[in-house]
Amino acid sequence: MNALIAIVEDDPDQARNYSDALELRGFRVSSYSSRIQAIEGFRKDPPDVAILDVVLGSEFDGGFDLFKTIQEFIPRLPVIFLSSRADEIDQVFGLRLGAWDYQTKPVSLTLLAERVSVLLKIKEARTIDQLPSRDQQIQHGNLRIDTKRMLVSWKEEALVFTVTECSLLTAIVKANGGAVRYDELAAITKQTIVTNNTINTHIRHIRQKFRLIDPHFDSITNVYGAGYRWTAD
Amino acid sequence: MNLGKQLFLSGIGILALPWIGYQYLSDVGNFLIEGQERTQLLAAQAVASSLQNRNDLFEAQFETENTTGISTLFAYPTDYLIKIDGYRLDWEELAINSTHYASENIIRSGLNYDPKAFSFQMALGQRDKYLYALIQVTDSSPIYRNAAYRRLDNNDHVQIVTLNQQGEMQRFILTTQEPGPLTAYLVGPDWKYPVSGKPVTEILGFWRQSRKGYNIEFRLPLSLIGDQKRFAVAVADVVDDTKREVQTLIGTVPTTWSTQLNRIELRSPELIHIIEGLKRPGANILVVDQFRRVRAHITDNMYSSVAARNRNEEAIREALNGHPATQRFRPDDDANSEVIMAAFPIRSETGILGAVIVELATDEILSLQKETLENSATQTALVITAILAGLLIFSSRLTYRIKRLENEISELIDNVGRLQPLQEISYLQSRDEIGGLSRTISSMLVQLKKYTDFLEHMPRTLKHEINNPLNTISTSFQNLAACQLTERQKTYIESARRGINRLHSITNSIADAANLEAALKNEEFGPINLSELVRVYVDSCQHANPSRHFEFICTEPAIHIQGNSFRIEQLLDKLVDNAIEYSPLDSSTHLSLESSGQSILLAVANQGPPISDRIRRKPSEQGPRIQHSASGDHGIHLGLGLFVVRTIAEHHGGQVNIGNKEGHQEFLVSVRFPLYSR
Repeated sequence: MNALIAIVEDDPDQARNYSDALELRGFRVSSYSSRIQAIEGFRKDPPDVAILDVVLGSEFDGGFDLFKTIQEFIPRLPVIFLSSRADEIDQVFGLRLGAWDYQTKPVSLTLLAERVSVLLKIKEARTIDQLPSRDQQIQHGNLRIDTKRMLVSWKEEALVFTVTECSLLTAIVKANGGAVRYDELAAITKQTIVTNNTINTHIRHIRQKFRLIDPHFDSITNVYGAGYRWTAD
Repeated sequence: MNLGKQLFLSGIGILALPWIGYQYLSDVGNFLIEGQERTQLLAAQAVASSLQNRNDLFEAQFETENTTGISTLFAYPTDYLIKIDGYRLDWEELAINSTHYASENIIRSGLNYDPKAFSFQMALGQRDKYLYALIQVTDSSPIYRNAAYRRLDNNDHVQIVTLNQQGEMQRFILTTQEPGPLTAYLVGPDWKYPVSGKPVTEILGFWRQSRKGYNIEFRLPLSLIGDQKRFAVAVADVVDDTKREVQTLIGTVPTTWSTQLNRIELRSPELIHIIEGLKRPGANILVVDQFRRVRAHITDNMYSSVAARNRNEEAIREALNGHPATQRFRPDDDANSEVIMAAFPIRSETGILGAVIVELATDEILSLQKETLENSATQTALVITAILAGLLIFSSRLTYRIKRLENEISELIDNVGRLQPLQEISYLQSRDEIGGLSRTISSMLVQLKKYTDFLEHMPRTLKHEINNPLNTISTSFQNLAACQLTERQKTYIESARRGINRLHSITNSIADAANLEAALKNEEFGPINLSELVRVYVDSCQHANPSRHFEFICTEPAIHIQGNSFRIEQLLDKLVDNAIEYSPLDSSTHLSLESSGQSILLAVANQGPPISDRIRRKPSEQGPRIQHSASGDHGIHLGLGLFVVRTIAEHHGGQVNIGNKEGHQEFLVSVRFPLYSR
């Protein structure tokens, strides 16, 4: 059976556009326009992936609140926040709650569908408790990336990265010391309009996460005007 | 001039108070002295009134002076013990009543009488049963008696005539062979030989040489003067030691001896009694007759009488002419004190009898004035010091409060006029004007903060609000694109997609720029090798834009600044984006970096149209706002780009300067950073 994607969006036009696009790509879609409605629906028919808007009607943080509730009964549900609230503080907040990704509007429906597919794959990979095969694993000094499960560890310590962050890190590491350009990195984020600023913000978050467990982490280097590269320890 | 100084200078005006006080006291002093003058005149008038029409008291003079020319001799009573020794010291009190005898009183004389060569001055006094006399003789050549001669008159001598109890004239000569005690002889009418060889022992006399000549002092028992109280004195001057003849004879009766002798007034008890009743402390009271002779004199002995010494004063002359007058003197020996003399005429039906003179020193008034002045000066000085100190403290406090308020307010607004997070300012509870000012400013700041917050949130709110409909449109077109469409329809959809992307990009730029300041605050700074950064950056640009030519000039291998490399890269992005956007395809973009002193100059120049004056003039005031431009949204990019450049540069302590290179179609942006020294 095809995967069930839940869409929680208070604007009926956008909700219909999302569901049309996803259904066209073979997913099953259930749409909810409010937090209460969504909780009910999720209990009745748990989805495989959820796409949540943050502002739901009059509830300014409705999406975030909904996410907290869902986690209580579907703990490992991949969730993408899809919001017009593009401020860094909102993104950081959403991701810290445990969302797998945070996309800002306007969104590319093609890229959204791709992202959903990726999440489903990761979810599946993480569900099957199986050692990753050699080609699914990148070992680079102290860094180990499980590309299938999107899991990262540094010095044998696990790091929690979003799908986007993990994809960016994987791309930089895979370049084998070469610089990965901003436009290449922008494509990986699977968003419509990506500025250098957006990339830099992601890189900053990645660095911060490394430095939480290793204050001397300095392996991601900025190639000014070009992009980023991974330097060996 | 600051507030404190202004207040202090105003306060100095208070220093005029002592001067005003001094003027006032001086006026009061003058007023008191004038008052005293009037009082004295009244006192003089009172005495004069009591003597009015008392011709009898002045009689002696009238009966003789004008008719026969023989005046009355006054012998003033004295309590002072007079020693017959020729010294003047014990005559101090009586000497003021002395009379000078010169040319007017010549009995007999040679052709050329010279008052400078011979004259005398005589004072008479009375104590107990004796009449005392002091004769101060001016004589250039005293001749003493020669014992070889029997005659008594061939030397300088004093002649005395009295009428005894029987009315017989008795003549005495006082003479001596040398300075010292005098011998008195009773002589006959020829004034030559003694009646008997025995001297008259009742009369004691003394001859003492003086600077001008000699002084003769003698004592005569009153019993020798009869009831008629007739008495005359003459002094004979012998000049030639060989001829030994009397050359000049001057006497109290200016005729040859006859029965017409002077009447001697031994005392003026009535007059003295009258004025003694009017005696007042510190005052001298004198009664003078029309000839300015002192007829009565009581003194407080505190100082010598001015009038007694000099009876020719203006006020006395005025009074004797019938006009009351006052006069002020400053005694030579006491510069701090003044003496007021008030003179009032004594009238009678026959004319002016004389004048009453009341003298009083102003010591008391002056000392009172001085004391008041000193007291008030001390008090004024204390009060002024206190007021000035108070003013100083008040003004310092006022200045301090205003300065503190100013500092607090200026800290709330940064150097480019942006409002900082609000903090409560001081003196909100004060009830005075500063409190009012503080409250007004505080409420203004709150309003301003609200407005600023609204403006600052505007771009983000706008972005949120626009992104939802934009997403609806965007997703709708995406779904539409998936349908079966004609080529024409596909073209329209593609145009719509580009429009949406551009709109998205604009809202992103605006929001990013608006969020930049907040984002910068949370970023870490560290030392950056700017020359290395720019070199790598230019290489990357060249690699990314092969069709463009980039040039970087920097002579130094390492120039460090304190900052955030990502933000510097962002700043370069904006500068290079602008350069690429506005310059022709085949042109070059020149970047340069140079350090001078404590600053570093990063410049980006490219060919291109001149920048608008408005942006050039005030680059630091450009905010994330839309510029109208012929080239579509390029204007937005330029405006936003410069805003981002400026914000980042200022966050790094730098300054941005925008201009057109003179003489060239070149656009130049330069950023000056402070040099980082480790």
